[in-house]
Amino acid sequence: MTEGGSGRYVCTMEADVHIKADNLGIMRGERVLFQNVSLRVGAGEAVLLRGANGVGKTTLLRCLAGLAQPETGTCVREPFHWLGHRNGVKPHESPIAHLCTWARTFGADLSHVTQVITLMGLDRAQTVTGAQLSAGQRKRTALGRTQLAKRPLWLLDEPFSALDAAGKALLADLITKHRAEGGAVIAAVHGDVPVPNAREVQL
Amino acid sequence: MSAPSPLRAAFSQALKEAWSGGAGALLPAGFFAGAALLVPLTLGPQSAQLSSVAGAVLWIALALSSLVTMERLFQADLEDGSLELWAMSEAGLSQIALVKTLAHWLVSGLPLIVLSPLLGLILGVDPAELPRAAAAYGLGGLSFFFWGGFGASLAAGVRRGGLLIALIALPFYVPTAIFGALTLASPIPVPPEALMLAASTLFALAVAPFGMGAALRLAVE
Repeated sequence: MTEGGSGRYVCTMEADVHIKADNLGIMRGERVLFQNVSLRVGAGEAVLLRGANGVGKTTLLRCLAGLAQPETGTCVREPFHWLGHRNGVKPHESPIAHLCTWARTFGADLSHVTQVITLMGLDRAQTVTGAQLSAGQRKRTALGRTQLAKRPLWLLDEPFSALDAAGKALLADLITKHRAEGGAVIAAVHGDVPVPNAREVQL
Repeated sequence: MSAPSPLRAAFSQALKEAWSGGAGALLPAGFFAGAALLVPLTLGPQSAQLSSVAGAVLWIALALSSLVTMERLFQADLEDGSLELWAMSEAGLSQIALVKTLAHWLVSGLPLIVLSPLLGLILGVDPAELPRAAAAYGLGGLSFFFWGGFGASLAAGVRRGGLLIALIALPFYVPTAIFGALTLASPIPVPPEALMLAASTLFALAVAPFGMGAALRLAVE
């Protein structure tokens, strides 16, 4: 993926493929976590990474996001949203302040933030600081970032954890809508998750 | 959609974060005053001796106070996951580090400069000298904060890394401290040493952000 002269993203990959990884090899310390991992995820697809604790789901996701450099192989991706293990909500930030910061960063309309707050069910908590939010509310705030700007790829590390039943249903809806609009999702998950027609990858 | 402005967002987030720590933003100013005002008490009653060392005392106090709250500058971002989000933003980590350090300087460094004439008066500096001294402390302080930020970026992943930051940053303070002290000692209003002081600050502004960017990239991985 390169940035074109007009400032728009120009995809250099084949049509409708949002992320392409070839022969990724990842080591942690002296241990080989993966060898020859290749993957293509395209429009409308969801990939669920599963596996025991410590098997390397997070490391693989970070590699796909470009946060960690693989020992071998290459990965190219379109613009994406990232939800990491640490979700980026600062202790002093209210949901509204957090989403305004990232709306500015993404170049999204600030007026859009209140809609996202309502969508994420954070109306009552919108001015509560991050330190006082519950884990689920912080997760909803962080997931709200995906609604600020349209990006074809979502990389999510355990997005369903800490969410209540309504929150899980909400996230499932967001993922379904994102896929219907031609987006792709790669998520590391545990247990039952309400993501239909997903490719499951057991690590 | 408006134009993405990650640097503005990072700057205002850093400003708010610095203030949200309650009195945290004013901690360096308190330390600066406390350290400087301890000197008259330890030096004894000769006021001539005091005013002759006042300039140097303020340089030392400034250097140490610049390090007081440096530890949290990048560590907080690393711990709460913001740093990886910034690493993926359109602005590079060097630029993010630059605006974060500037915001930190604005909140923690500028009050030191504002305070320096008052402390100078108390320590017996010639009042006519004070504006020039404040300008020198302003230039030097900026350089101290940028090298301190460089230390903070290298120690971002280290628990209780405050002392490590001091060990990394203090050697970089040397040129600024030398030319700063020479500037104050010179009888000419703008001596060549002042230009060297400005040069050392410009060098810090130009080089430290790249060092911070590289160190933070390593910290994120």
